[in-house]
Amino acid sequence: MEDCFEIGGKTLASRLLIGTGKYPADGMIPDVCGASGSQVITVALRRVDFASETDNVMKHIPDHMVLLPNTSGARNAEEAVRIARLARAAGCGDWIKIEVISDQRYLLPDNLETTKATEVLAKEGFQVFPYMNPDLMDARRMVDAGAAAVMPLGAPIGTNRGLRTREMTQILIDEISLPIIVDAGIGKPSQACEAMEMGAAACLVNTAIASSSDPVSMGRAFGQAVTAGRAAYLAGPGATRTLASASSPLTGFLGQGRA
Amino acid sequence: MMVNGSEERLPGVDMTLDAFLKHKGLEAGSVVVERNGDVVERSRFGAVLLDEADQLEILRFVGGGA
Amino acid sequence: MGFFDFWKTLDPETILARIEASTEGDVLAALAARKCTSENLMAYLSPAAAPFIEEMARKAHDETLRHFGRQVLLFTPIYISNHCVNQCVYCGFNARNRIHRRQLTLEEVATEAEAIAETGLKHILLLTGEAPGVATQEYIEESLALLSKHFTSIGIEIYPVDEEGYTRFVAAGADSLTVYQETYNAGLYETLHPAGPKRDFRFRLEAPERAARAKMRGVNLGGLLGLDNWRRESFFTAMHANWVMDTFPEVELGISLPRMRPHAGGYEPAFVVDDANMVQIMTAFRLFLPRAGITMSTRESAFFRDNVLPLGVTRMSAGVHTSVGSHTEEEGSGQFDISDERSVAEMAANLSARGYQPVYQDWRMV
Repeated sequence: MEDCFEIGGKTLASRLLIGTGKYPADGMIPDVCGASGSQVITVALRRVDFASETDNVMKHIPDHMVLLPNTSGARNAEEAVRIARLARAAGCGDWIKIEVISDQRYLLPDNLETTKATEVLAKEGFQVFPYMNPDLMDARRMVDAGAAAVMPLGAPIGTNRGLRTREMTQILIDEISLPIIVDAGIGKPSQACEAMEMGAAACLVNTAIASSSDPVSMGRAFGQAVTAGRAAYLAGPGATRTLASASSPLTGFLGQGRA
Repeated sequence: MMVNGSEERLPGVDMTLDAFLKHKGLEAGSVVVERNGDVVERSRFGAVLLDEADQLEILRFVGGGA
Repeated sequence: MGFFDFWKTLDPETILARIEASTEGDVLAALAARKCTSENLMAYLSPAAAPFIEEMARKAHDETLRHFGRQVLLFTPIYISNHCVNQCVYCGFNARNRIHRRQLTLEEVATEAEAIAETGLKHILLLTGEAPGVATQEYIEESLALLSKHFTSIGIEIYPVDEEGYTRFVAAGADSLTVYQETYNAGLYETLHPAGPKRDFRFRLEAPERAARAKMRGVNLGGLLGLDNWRRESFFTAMHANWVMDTFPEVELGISLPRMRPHAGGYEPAFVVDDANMVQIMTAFRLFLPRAGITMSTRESAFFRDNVLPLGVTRMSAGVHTSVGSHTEEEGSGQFDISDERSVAEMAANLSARGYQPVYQDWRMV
């Protein structure tokens, strides 16, 4: 049976999402898209700089990619909502990743403001992807607010430290009915593979690919890792027996005494 | 007129947003515009007449965020 | 969507077939699984799991130790009225049974409460039959208020009421609701309850969620083991418990394993549930719901209760009499025969001797 990834009103073949930041040259982006097999790419929204001749990143994003604009720069719900509405005006769809970060030291997301923005934007018909610090109660609130998925961080942005939030993210995977997309902190393909083995619906990887010395190869590796992890998850783990013979069995009393 | 936080003179009278963007060397399809706090639908760029008192934010997608 | 809507999606024949078709491989997969799923639960409840009971017990023991330590909460039931208009074929209080009907006056409730409080217990379970015209909601509320003077935690096991009723019971001092669906098999349920308001399967099924919405802190569920196939019954009970936990995450969930006992009416249970079956059910519950409380009542013998202690029991009744007013008076007509007649003091000593701490007070409302 085909493993379909249904999300935000679309059906995707790849469970790897990538970003556009930190590349040595935006010209690499199309090759990374191709090599990784990813179909979703995040972008940010910024003021046009009239003084410089900065290239338009959109020129480098292949047409088949689904755009996931993020609200990076927003420090509260109001700013995130504003950016989302502007992003939608670009006419590239109604997906929005909510990133509300008022912590400039670690770039950790503000769950409370993120939930507020989710509620407003979901009502306006956006497909909302909230980026959050994994907390079950907050995730439930985001579900109730109308999110299309929940995106817990694996580790703080840019740290490449892997699944530091493994336990809490696993709880979200177990308890939240929406797709869980592990975002931020994934530094190696093996970590993306692990996230998928845990049951995550997808992974979003930016820094690890863009800052690699060979982003195209690294993109390919991540694509393969996500596919492998997903296949392993669907196959289910092999049974391992851990029984040691008991000297005082707990069920030895059965068969003694009266029935 | 304020454009992206800086003062600018309206380059002409009866200038539409569309014309203004062309004047700045921008393709209308590559930017989004917020005028006085409201998002301007791209289809209306040719209809919106700019005013000296306007505050414009002209933005585009860039690589980045997380 | 209430539990009834979810329950409707569970076909009893398919479920039993799937449970019975579970293989040794399924059981091994369940034992190795990081988190016990409904499929794993089916394997645990299957005939194929019988040779693996010791392993299930070890795993259940481990889970219990980590989540509950070596502590058992002691409580006792107080029957304040055995008037009943239902005709449940399996119950000693059946309206057609010629037993002495008795309802305590509020004064007598107070006296009983004092006698029970003397034993040191702080948790109590208030029971009535279903006779809303006699054991009215007001009477129950007033009894709750009286019990609040002596006990810090009061559960109710009474006829199902609406949400407003539960809200009033909570205000009067009730902090948990015990309601056994008896059987989740609607067809069987109908034949077992030929007359009386208890015939309303759905109203009873939805009692826990009404109580949860009414801010009842705890809910206890169970099927009366022996009425229907125990494998299926246990699966449905677990599904109900799991659904309540998912829908009302703040509610404290408990499960009981009431096994049919001899009683006045003489109903012979259709299915035999032997001790090994009980252990299988209990460990399956513990593994599927690691943090749910498990109550072992005095329907079970002292020998059995003592031996299942390590397997996941978190609550036990002690000093029990199931007839009305019997903590102070002569034994009247009980709801069921008791097997473990040990007093609170005896139970406490017994627990200590086995390395368990008897707990009298879990918490109190302030």
